[in-house]
Amino acid sequence: MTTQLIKQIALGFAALAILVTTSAIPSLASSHAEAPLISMDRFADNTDTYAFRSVEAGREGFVTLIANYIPLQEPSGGPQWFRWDDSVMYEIKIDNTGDGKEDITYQFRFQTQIVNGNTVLGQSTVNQDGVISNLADLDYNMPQTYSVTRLAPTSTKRPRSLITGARTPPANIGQRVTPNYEANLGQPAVYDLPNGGKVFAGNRDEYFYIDLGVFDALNLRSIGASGGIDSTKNYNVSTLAIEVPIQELTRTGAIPASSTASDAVIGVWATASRQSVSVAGGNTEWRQISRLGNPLVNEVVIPLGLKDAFNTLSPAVDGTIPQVVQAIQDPELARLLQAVYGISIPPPPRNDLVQIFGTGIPVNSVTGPNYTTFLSDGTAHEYLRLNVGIAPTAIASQNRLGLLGGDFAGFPNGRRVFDDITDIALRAVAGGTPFTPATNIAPNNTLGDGVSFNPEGPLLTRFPYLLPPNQGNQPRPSSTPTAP
Amino acid sequence: MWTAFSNILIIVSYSLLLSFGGACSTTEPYSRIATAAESVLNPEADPGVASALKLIETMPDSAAGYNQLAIHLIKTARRTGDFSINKKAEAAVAKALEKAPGDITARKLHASLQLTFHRFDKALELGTQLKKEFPKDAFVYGVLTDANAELGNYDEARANAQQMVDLRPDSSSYARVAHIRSLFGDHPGAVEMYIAAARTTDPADKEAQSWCLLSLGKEYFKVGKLDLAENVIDESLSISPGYQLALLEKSRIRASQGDYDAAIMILDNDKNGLLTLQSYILRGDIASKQGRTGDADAEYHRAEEAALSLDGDLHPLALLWADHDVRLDEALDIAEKDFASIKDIYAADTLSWCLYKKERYLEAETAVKQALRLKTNDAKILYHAGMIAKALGNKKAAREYLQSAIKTNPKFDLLQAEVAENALRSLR
Repeated sequence: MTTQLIKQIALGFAALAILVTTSAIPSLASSHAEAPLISMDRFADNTDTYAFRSVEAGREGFVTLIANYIPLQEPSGGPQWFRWDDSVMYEIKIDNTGDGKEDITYQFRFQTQIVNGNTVLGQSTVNQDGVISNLADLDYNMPQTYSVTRLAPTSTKRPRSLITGARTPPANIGQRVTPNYEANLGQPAVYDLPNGGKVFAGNRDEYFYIDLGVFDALNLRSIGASGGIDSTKNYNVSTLAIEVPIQELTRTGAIPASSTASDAVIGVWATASRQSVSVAGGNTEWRQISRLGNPLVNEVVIPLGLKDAFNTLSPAVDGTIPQVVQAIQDPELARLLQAVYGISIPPPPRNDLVQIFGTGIPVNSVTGPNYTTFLSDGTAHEYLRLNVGIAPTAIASQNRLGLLGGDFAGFPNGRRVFDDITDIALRAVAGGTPFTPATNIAPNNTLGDGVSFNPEGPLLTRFPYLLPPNQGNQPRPSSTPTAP
Repeated sequence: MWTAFSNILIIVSYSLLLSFGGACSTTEPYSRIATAAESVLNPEADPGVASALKLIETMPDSAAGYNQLAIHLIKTARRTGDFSINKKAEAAVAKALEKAPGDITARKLHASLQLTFHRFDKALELGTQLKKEFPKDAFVYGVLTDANAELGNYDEARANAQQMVDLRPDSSSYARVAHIRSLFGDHPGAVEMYIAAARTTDPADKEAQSWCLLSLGKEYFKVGKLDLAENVIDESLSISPGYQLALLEKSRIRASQGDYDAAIMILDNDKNGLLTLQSYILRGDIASKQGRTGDADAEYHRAEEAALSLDGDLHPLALLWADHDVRLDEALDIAEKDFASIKDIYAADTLSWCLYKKERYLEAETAVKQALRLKTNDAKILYHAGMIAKALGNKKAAREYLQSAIKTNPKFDLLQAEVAENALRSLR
């Protein structure tokens, strides 16, 4: 047993002793059972947002936007599995002027049908032969259809319906019910849109790889590129993916002339909203209850007590909320990194982090004259920023560390599914980047969670890029250390 | 007749409780509970505790670890039904506030824990302070809704619930809207919202799901829809087998249908041994119905002990004594003290019933009007109103109230429903 470990155990027991001592009176509390106040709304919970120039061959003129919801889905979660919630409005939003307000919104609404209600089985049943061989198969007992509407709230343009009646694929239930999943059900659920783009809504493999020891007070098995455990291995997630022409997203309605053109950067975030109700009766307006732009901001930057409030905010007001600004300028994670690893970190206010998360990175000497993600009216708005004027990097040449690895097409220029966000975020928060030269030293600039790729395999080379969902009818493999 | 529980220990305990506002007896079941609560702080057995302690160790000057521990303990208390664990949570929050007095998470937890311990005035005070600083935080309005509803500030509670659901329509706010609608007599609206609350709860949060379904079941029971009530309570129990509060309601429904053996068996299924005051009363009522007078007395005695061990809420004890025409002076004392600090309809109802039993009918009528002011679908309040009207010679009103009580739920109480029916018959 190491001295450090003995010290940790002793400290743990000391903390325990404090609590036991302060509450030693064996008083029985009342049985008052008020409604839960600490609750989650999993079906309206954003997990990740991605925005990148399409890398599928022949799709260079498009941007792919992906919003994932409903975290950590067990593939065997039947008989209902994880469906989209008909009472939630899912949206992907784009700000192309820098004021934090959405100029374009892609709005997804779902509707669940029931083919046969007289069955204890849920998503599938034996209405014919028990095999779901296509999206219209009657054995797909609870199919969901959806519509996508494009809104332009800041213009006089009317909402435009992009698709209605599109079907989501069922869960990947197992070889017997959903054989040849991707060919029969996954790929047919990719629909063409009238603007030349594509859309998909359904379960996929959770590609985001992370050792969740990060959330256990940075209790990581490794702080390098390997040696960690992918905690999301074999979990699924619900994916909205839409591919749209670049010019549909920019403020000018054109493809930017260069990466430094005034219309080159767009802001992207995704939300989930539910309808409020009147206590006196009836439904009222839609209210945003979840939001996600930059990765890990809501998870590790915004304090626990502010998360719910932050989730309801529009990026337009981020800069006016002192607690949000302070959380970014002086993140608790930085102090935790300092405490756990004994490293020096840049002192607050962390303007380097404000640039990454709040305003975008202006043209500067570190990244050269052709790189910027700056999009701001002078105040901070937290969302992903994608410079659509920067060409995508071919799949084979992508660097998982994005900008830190010299790959201008990766995070924080938008976010690709491939990007190793945890390592990038740890290094950025520790000040291990060229933007904070004094701390751009080891281990600050080599930090990681020990997981540097998705063990389920590489991404698809076609839309929607994410791998098919893990199959439900298989033993759940234990998480194993990933290969270096 | 229940007469065998004049016990000097109880009087002493009761006096201590009133004097010190929270002392408790150390009867065997409660020392066992305390031991169970200690075990939840075992980091080896509970990864949630281990994780929080690690954070405390890593950042000893931060509130973060203590907050994490408190949240874990609050959830554990809800999941296990062992509310004594909330004492540990409160201690953790106190440490968090000691480390960082302004920490918003700690302050929110501090405010919400006041509700758990029935310190509604304090919850209201803390919630009001938080609201000034964080007017966009739905959690804060949840605290305010609960505190105002418990204090009888119903217009404020309704406004707070509206603010909460407008800020964040989710399971927590839907449940509060449901509760307010139920209080204001909107049964269909309450059912609609409890269903919405259950549907939007995180499937991984078994306790929250079960709580919403249990509340829906209780709402159905209130209006006598026993089959629907039992169905959703069964669903609640299928999600959280052994869920103590659901077992109690399931038992109550079985007993109300005369299935006493099943009712007792269900209560015996409470493996945690954390039987509540209400379950002792139910056991006593069942024993009374079965003519087992000695057993009934013993159960009511246990109910008294349980009540006197609680922090605060004694009005069920006052109702118990009033229902059984025993210790009426003490019952009235509790009811008057309760009503002096809490103006909610249930405090008013308890006061009215104790005054009625003391034959102070005019005062009872005044109090029961307070209890009826929201037009709540509550058969017991209507029954009390009917009995008071009858005692005052107002036969028409008595008939109407008693008919309403029985129409609302003919099985509203194992013993008192029969009294209501007999009283109504005598008025025809």
